[in-house]
Amino acid sequence: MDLSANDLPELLYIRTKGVFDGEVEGDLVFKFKAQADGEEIEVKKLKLVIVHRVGDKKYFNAASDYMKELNSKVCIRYENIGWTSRRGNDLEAGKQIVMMLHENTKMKAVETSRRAPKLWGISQVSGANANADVAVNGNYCFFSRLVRYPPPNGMTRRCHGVLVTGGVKNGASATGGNSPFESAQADFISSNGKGSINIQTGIVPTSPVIHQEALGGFASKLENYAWHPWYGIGETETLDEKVVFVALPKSETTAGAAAEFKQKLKDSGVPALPGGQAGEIQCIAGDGGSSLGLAYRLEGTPLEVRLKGGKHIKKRGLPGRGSYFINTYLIFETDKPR
Amino acid sequence: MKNKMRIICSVCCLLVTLEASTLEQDLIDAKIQELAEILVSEGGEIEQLNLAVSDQEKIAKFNKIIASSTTKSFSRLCSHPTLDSWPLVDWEKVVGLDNFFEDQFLWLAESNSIAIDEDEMAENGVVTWLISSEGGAGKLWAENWLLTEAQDQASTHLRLLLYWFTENFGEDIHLDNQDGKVRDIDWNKWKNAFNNTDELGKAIILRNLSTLASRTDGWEEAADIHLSVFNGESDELKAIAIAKGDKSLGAEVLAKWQDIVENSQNAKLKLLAQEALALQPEEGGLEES
Repeated sequence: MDLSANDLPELLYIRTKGVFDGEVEGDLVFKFKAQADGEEIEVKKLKLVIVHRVGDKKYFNAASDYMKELNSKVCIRYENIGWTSRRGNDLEAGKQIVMMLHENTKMKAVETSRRAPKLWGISQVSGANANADVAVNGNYCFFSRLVRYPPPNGMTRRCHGVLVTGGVKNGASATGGNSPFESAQADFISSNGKGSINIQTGIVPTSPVIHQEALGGFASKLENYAWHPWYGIGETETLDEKVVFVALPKSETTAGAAAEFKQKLKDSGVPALPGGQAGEIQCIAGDGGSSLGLAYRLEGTPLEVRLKGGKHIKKRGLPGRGSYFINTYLIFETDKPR
Repeated sequence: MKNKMRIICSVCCLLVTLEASTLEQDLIDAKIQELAEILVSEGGEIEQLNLAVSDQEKIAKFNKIIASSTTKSFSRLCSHPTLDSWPLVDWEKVVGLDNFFEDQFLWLAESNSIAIDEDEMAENGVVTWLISSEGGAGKLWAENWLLTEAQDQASTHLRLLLYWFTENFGEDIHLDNQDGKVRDIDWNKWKNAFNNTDELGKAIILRNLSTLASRTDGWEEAADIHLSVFNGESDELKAIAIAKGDKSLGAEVLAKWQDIVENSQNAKLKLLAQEALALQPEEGGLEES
């Protein structure tokens, strides 16, 4: 680059020789040489970290930096996670990760069956929460203790675990039953306003209620939850910052790579799960498969549904197919960095 | 209540009126809700089913519910459908992968061909809701029941309902354990059932296989069944297999899809395979936000 003839550009691009694969950390050194055979003078040295994919140590640093640099509310990555099947086939599982700055973000738990009118699926939840930046389906829902599914095109009205919204326990909450998702081994996510989102093992406290917003009944043995939505908190390595994220499979049948994905999140800085067992990370799984629902907004656009499983779609009047709508969601509102 | 749908055609100044009966969907939904509430009420038949201990007892109670007075349509229904009347795949209704089955079966909801009125259609709906609900939980007894029914070639009417209205067996199979572990699936049982039944039974199995495979890391076992379909002669089964297919079935199955694209004489089947192959996983990367 001949700086004598041009102003310093606002952007610098770095081209690698061959395929770049992996995280690189070092110095980007700018040197000046007055003449072709003159002496090189170092004029500037910048720390440079190139982050490639989830699993890199500074993945969440890079996401945080991206949002701050672009003054963006979210950072969205598509990641293909390699895994090997039981028969030895090398496969890939696609994940989409939506990240927000923890300090700028608050969460709300949404129940859709015990309100008028009901909200049918992720599309209506998004429509009713137009200020949200991210909406995602929640915990494990059911119709009654006797039969899990509501009648066709109906809506579940209970959920395993406690739902608190506006500081009040919602009637959909189910506790004390036989479901393992109602036990103390289940996990919950909570929020008491901006910058307070937390994820931990246990039952959401209700005597008294201490959270403004909370949803329980989640799972933390992530290795067995490949086709589920994951909700987590990543820590940056060098900065005292955290990133809240939701990570969903690309489709309702995307399977595999759960153990691999969990390890990559751990390597990238998702810490140990508070109250959890050894090896568990601060990332928990909700209801997956056809329950998957995800909406998020890109800068300057409305909240848009990106993933909609079968339990968010009315089945055009076909009775008895077991298709129904679920009744719990999480929405996130986040501020721009500046 | 019946609505009359009138299609008025004008041909050379001659007014011809055709009439086709339709059923009132909102009324059906309300009646299904009503029947469902009775079934799930305290002391109701679903509670009895839940109290059954052994798998045999559960299957016996389940069959009793299906045939019970609450869902008595079965006896009346038997006078309506025959397998010859309704092909597994109506090629004229195939327009692509999206809504493949809904497009195939929408007529069921829009006509009174399988039910004489809304009451009977609601009873059908309750039966298939129950089957779907128990199937979704993926219990062993329900698996045995489904595979037995799929092979019972004398049970045409129930099997037609199963084919039309049930899919995604084992959708919530993981909900028994918070650690997400699922019970082992005996895939040989599925393969044997598939090999030992007719096309209708195979279609039922194909519609219920994929979700279970995705939930239990069983795509490779499911691929064995899909390969037997693609090595066979039935374009209808191939269409159903593609509609319920997934790239996780592996390279051999994808090669069969490609072979259809390149060599099949069936344009609609070729279309389905093309669309399935086009559903590539997206590249990794950043979405500008």
